[in-house]
Amino acid sequence: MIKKIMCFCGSGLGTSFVMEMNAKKALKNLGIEGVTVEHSTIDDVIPGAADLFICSADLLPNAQKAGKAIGLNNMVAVKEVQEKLKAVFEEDQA
Amino acid sequence: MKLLKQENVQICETAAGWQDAIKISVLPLERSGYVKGCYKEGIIENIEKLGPYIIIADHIALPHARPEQGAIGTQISVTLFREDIEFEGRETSARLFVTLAAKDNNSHLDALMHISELLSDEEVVDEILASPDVPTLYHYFERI
Repeated sequence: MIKKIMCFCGSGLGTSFVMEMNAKKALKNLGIEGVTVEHSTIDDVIPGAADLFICSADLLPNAQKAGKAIGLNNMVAVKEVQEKLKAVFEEDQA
Repeated sequence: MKLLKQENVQICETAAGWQDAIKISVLPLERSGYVKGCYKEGIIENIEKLGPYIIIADHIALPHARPEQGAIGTQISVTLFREDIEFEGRETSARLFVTLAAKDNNSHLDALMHISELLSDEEVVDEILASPDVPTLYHYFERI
């Protein structure tokens, strides 16, 4: 079960926050509740830190070392993160 | 709090590579005392280490580094290049650089939210990229 999502970028300040905001919107649109979303820096990305990591496509290999992860090409639009979250949650519940 | 001043909005023809583009985009913040000279090096080092994570969508870069890497105040500069700036190892390039300095972890979040909302509409992005002059470009970001 995915209960905690961590969005991260290289600095933990800018991009990660934008991703957090859009991930929250996407979860709401998908009707998924009871999941916490936070943003952080790449230094906090360790196995067990979250059930799912979200980052830019460039950082995906780093995230996959720590667990299940989504890499995004567009971090300002809700569309991409929503599609990818939908797929992950469908798989999670299967 | 107003985080963008028109004097920190600029339109440039091109840059000699992405490192130069970063330096150009940080310059207004450096000139007005919001970041130390080492801030741009911090951004470049982060990208060299982690890849161009600052590209937040097609054509758009959000250069930024940690407060401790040389940010003094919280402020934004906007730089539009007329030519695409290529980043190694990335298919997409960037022309619009929204450069961020944050003195702490929170003071810039409202502004980022507005920027993100503004840039989530691809049609608006196309209009911004076609801005003929600085006042037009500034106008899109005026709320920040």
